Amino acid sequence: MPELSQAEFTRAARGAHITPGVAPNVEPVIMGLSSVAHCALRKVHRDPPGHALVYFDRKVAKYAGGPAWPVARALRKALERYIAWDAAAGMPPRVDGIDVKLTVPFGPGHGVRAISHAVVDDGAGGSEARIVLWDELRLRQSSAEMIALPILEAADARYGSGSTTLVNVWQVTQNQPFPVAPTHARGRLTDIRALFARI
Amino acid sequence: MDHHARILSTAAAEAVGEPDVIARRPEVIEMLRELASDPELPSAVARVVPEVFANIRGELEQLADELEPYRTEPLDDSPELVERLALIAWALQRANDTQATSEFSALAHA
Repeated sequence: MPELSQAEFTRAARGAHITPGVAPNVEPVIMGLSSVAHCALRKVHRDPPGHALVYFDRKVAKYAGGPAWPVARALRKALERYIAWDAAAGMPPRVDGIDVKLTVPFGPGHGVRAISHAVVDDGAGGSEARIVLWDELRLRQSSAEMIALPILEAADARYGSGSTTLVNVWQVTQNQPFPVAPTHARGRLTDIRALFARI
Repeated sequence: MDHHARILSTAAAEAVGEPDVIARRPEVIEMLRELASDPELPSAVARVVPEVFANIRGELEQLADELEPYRTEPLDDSPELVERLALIAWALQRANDTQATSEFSALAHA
């Protein structure tokens, strides 16, 4: 019975091998840096403009010149890219939710602990739900559509069925924004069930 | 210790992206306290990673205390706690692996 974390699900949807519930072999310092990046992303929407980058720089300063520094620089560039894409979206600054979470079932005993990192007003009475990927696994449109479905369900459950008009799957380390329409995400239900059957 | 290392590793990995990790896994706090009171732990960890923790017992107790509020609050603005949890899990795993290797070696030469 796999209930997958979102990190596990997004890797599996892109073809990576996962063992549910078993942590990937990642250095503690990299986990710390990744956590800083996630925290900074929240600050993009919670705090005044510019604070997120200041926060990130302050938190990673202790790694300067060390072996983890290139990772810190790459994550900063990814954070800058998120901020740029957020600004380019041209939407009102209203953010409806941060870390909007729901365990979405995909058949008996199967589920994904989905988290939309930000749900923002789409300017037309609906919402845009976002998921941000910080890794470098290759993302295709088909896998983006699979990744989008639990995000869509989480946002719709919180803000009303049909309220989500777009899911943005943003791989910020790779300059890869994938906008996914709700109908395309829902069209991947069979693929997701097949994925669970393989795990 | 292997069981503890696996649970703590998984919790640390989840904590990176899931702010409710301690609310979902409150046993992490109990595990840290349990480990802190294990009389064999300090020497086991010090043997393999002496550079990491001068006072592993104190670090375990302190981390358990600092994680307490996150039974009910999201762990969404404390990346240092995530890294410390990951470091403890990593140290336990290394200590455990070393112990397993030693036991295998002893059996192989028996």
